[in-house]
Amino acid sequence: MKPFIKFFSSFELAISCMILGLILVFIGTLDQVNLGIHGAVEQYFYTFFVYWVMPGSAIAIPYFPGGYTIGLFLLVNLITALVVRFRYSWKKSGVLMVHIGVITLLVGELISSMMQVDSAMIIDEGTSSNFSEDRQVVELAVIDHSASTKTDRVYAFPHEMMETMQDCRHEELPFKIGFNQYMANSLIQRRDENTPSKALISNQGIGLNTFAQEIPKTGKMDDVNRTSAILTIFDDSGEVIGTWLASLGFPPQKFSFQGKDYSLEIRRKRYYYPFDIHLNDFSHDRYLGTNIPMNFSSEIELTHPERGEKREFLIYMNHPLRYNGLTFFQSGFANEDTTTILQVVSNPGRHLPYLSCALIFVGLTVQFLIGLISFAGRRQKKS
Amino acid sequence: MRRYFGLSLLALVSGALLFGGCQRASVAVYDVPKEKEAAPPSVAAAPISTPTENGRIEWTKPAAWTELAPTAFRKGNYLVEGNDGKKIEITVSSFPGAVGGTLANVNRWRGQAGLSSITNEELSQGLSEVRVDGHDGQIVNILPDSDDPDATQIVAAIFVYEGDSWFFKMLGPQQGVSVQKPTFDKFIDGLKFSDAASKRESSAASSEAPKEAILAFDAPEGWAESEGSSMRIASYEAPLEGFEPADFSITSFPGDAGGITANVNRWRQQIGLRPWSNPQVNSNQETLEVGDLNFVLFDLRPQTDSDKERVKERILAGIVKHDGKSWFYKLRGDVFLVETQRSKFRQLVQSSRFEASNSKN
Repeated sequence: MKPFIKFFSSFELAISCMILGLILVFIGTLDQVNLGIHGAVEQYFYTFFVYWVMPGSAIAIPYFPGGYTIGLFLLVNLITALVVRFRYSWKKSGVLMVHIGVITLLVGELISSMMQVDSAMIIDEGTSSNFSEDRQVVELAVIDHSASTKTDRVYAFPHEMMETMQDCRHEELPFKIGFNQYMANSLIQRRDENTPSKALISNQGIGLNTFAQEIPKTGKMDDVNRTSAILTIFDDSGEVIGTWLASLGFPPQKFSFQGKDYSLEIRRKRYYYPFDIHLNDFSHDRYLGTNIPMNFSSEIELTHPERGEKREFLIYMNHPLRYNGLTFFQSGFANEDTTTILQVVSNPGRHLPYLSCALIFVGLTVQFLIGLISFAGRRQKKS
Repeated sequence: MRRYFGLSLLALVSGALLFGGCQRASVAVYDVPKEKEAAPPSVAAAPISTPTENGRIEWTKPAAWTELAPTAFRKGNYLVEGNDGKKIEITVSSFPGAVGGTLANVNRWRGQAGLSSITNEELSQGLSEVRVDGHDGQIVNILPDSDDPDATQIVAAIFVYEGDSWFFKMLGPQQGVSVQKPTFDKFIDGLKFSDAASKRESSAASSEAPKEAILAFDAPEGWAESEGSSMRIASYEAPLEGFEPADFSITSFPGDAGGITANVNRWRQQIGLRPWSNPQVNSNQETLEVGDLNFVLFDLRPQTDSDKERVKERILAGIVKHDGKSWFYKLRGDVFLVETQRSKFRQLVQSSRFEASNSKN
């Protein structure tokens, strides 16, 4: 056996991966206190390495394998072991199922980590919505208000372009957007005489009265990363049209160019759907005489014009609506119980953990029964 | 069978990885029904203060104070030296709204003086009410913790008038501030609010209000005025046969508009050059005195071989600060064409002056 295959199919590698996984889960869970859930997941689990950033510098030194590395090594180890070492026989069918179950679990988590989209749909009573907004990811939206009398044309530039400060351009737009500064999280302050001169570069819109001060990114559930950017718009000849400060939470900032009205904003990334959800009623029941919530529920009507569907649903705690590959959970409420917040989850790998658990359960049961029958047979023979 | 089983599993995992990893970020374009406009926050609606907007509260400068140029946020900017030669700063500023309220502002000033924040109850100890020209205000006296004569003391008057908060602030070493306090009190007593001032047909104070100077210069021979945007103060074309004419513009913005480095890098970005660090900006700048104006000049052109291959444009730029504003001169065009116009650009810069009336060529 070649040493390479021997290494990847070894039992020692499996045990090492499991021990490293245990340590990673332990330190990642402890660090949740500092980083929050999202921060810990990003820093320890959805990464190939856990890094230590040298204080006062941008130098990051990897010091521990991350969730992806451990998971991938374990996955390759399980598959290689099944191919190279495993002796297929009916007597070991249970063990085989358990192995396939664990592989399914790892693949499912990999798919979820890469493809799960978690967003929120906010609807006021008596109104409809056909989009949800990402909880983590932002985008730079440039909106052409002159596109037609009834609709606006949206050009949504992904956050990766802001993070890497790439020029944002589109063939239909007569200008390009360049970034002067990008801040993953910031504090918005009113301009005054102590404002750092670097922030004074904005010469249009809200940035004339405010500035953004960069602060460390947060991963805590209740905190919001207020993404900000100072951006300059250039016309086709490279002439500066103006420099704006855009920040999550700012209203769209309007400007005119070549007789057309545009606006720009940094907003949560939007996902549009081919159906509408109308909120008929939101109920928030409390235990009598207290403010402790007993139940909150949204009575909605879903309309899908292309399919000719119009259906009513009641979404409440632990009873989500599953539709079109999406799951709508009752997540929260606002505006004195007149607005509902639905968590919208799209996860192509959502069935895999169930399949994995079923395989592991059946595999263990089968293996136990095979062992039991064999034991009983041997005992009978002896007697 | 074993081989097929193994291959199937590997294909499944690789497929999952590839599918997940190949999702590239791209620009999404779609049409949406027009949304109702959200009310912009008050901060967005607030007008920017410029040095020439003062007039709703007027004041008379005490003779001993030296007037400095106003800035984007200082409507009045004065300096006085104490007996020991240490400087005391007196500023007048106004902002729309309550700007966080008295406590927030006092705590901000306490921070400036190196003191800890106080509570609402403690605030009343250093706060006194004042009535000037029929309007109520507050005087706050922020004393240092120590007896050190150089420790910072702040005396400030706050007036909320027609929706704006006005701050008259004196800051300096406590020894000097205590000497200037009677002058400052007299200065505050002499404030005139516009409703009172408007009753007087001729106000001596208003006649002293600074007038905005107009930039004048001599356009070089051969340059033709061009159609510029509304942001331009001047717009010219510098022609040369066989080339697209170079574009010359003068713009102005309040304050330092981000500073020299940010603006130089914005121009470098315009023609595709990499940004400069602060030391690079400093080492590539040339200063030019024109009367009482101090210009900083830059020649932004491709210098390395790779830049020369890639970048075909060049910018000659000049920045000058005057009257609380920054003025930007910029000539942009083909590398060779701009070279031929260098002396004319310099000649234009050297002819610049600020005049009381419009005498622009």
